[in-house]
Amino acid sequence: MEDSVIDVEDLYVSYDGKNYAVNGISFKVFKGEIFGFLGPNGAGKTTTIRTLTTVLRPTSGKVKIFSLNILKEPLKIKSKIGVILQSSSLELSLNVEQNLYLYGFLWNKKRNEIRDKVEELIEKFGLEEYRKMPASELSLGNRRKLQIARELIHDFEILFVDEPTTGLDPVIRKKVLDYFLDLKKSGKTIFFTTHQLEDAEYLCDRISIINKGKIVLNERKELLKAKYKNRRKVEILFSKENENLLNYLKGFDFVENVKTSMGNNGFYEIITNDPTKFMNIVNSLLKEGNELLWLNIQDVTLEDIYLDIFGEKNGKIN
Amino acid sequence: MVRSIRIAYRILRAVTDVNTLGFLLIMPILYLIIMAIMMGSFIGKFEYYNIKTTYITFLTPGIMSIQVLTGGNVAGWALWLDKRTGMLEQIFSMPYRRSDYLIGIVIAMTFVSILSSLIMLIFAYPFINIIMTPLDFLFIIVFLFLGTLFFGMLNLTIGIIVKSNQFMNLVSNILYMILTFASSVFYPISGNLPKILIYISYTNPLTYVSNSIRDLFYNILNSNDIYSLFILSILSSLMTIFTIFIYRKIKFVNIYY
Repeated sequence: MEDSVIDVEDLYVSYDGKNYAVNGISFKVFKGEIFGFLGPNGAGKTTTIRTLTTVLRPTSGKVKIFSLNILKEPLKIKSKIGVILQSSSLELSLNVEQNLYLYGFLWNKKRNEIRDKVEELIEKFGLEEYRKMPASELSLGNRRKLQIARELIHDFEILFVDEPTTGLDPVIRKKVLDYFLDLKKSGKTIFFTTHQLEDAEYLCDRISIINKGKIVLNERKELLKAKYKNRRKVEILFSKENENLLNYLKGFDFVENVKTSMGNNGFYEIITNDPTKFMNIVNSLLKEGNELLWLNIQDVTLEDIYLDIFGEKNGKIN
Repeated sequence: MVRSIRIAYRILRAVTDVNTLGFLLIMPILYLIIMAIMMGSFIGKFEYYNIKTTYITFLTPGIMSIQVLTGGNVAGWALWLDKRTGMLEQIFSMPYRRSDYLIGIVIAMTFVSILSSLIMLIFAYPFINIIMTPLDFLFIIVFLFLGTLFFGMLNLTIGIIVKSNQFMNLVSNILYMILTFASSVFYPISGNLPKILIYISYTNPLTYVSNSIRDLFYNILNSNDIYSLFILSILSSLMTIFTIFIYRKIKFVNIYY
């Protein structure tokens, strides 16, 4: 039996008492895992993270972190968690080194302890040449590095991370994600919210998808992919658009989703759960005189699953 | 309390911009110099409650008392900036209570207003002729604290409500201007003033801070000052209750940069 460190049961959060940003969600997060909390903008991810970090009071429901009730023992919980917000949340007028020192001070760390840690973190995160630069002048990537480095000043058991890779270039993004993998290796639990599906696919052990305040999927990543293991995404480009083809393809039970892309006449994106049968259809289409310009078959990615859940079924790409 | 002191240190260290604070200190010093020299040479010696005095002696308590606005400004800006940068949410997710943060701000703003008042006094001291007892100092600190509490809470409420830097700037500047001039900081409230100005001045808590510190300067503490103390205590308590009510409903803004 795995140890859960976060237990959420029937959680509702409303800002105005009428509309619910979080609408009756339940889930568990287990020790040492990276839990991916995915959803489109406005789905309720940040509200959930604010509730779990005790910043927001739940309207109803039970939330326990390390078996402690968030309403009864918020200080005990907060002393064991780290939080990396989506906003920079840095002391913009202070330089890198001062930011780290002040954060250590706020965490009530001893000065010599902070000094050693600051040197270690500045080196680890490659912030040496920026150590005297005010945070306001740092690039977005370096601000994010500083935010992560700053959180490592203190010990935590769970790290809550809210969309950490938004706006980062691919190189920095990979580095940032790797920092989280390092933390996982050292036994930390990470609650990771994102709408970047590649990040979740790269990083997370378990995926939970929230939409309009409700959890629509909660599964281990391998199980999720196993569910979709026979599925393939097929991209086909015919030399010209066939008006009847869309409806023709929709008629097969092994075709789960067909999309055409506006502006690409003759281009179809198909999700099928039986690639062999589907290729037979393609062959018959070729025999009927359709000219095939390009064909690509891929495994289903987390992004396809996500899009599958959030609509875009059988029609034009929005 | 230790947590609040940590927050207060952080506000003084990180949120209070040295340039802004410098400006907030230099401006009243300039008032002190310019007004005292220009107006002082024009007014010469005059009588205040049958005591012959100079304009700089009259003005110094007023300039000391407007430091309660400086302290209040620090509080409002600290909260607004913390809200804007996400530091408020960050601190709330650390082992701090919301009350720790609020008390931390009160400590920081009181420190700023008392220290800057003291700087004004030290700056003016060679030019004025006053004798003060330690008890007078204690009373001055009490009046400064109550004034700071009122204006700090007022600024905090503004900081909680506003949603843009421009609006925060506009409101705090307009408020500073109105509160400074519609009070007894630069001139006594006399019957010759238009009635509306008298009315506004007497609803302005700065008038009570300024009058009382001035009476302590001239050693003419009287029943009016006890009344001022009472009014200030009531106003600052009501303002604190109102601000706590608003503060409990604070919303975080999402500005990502």
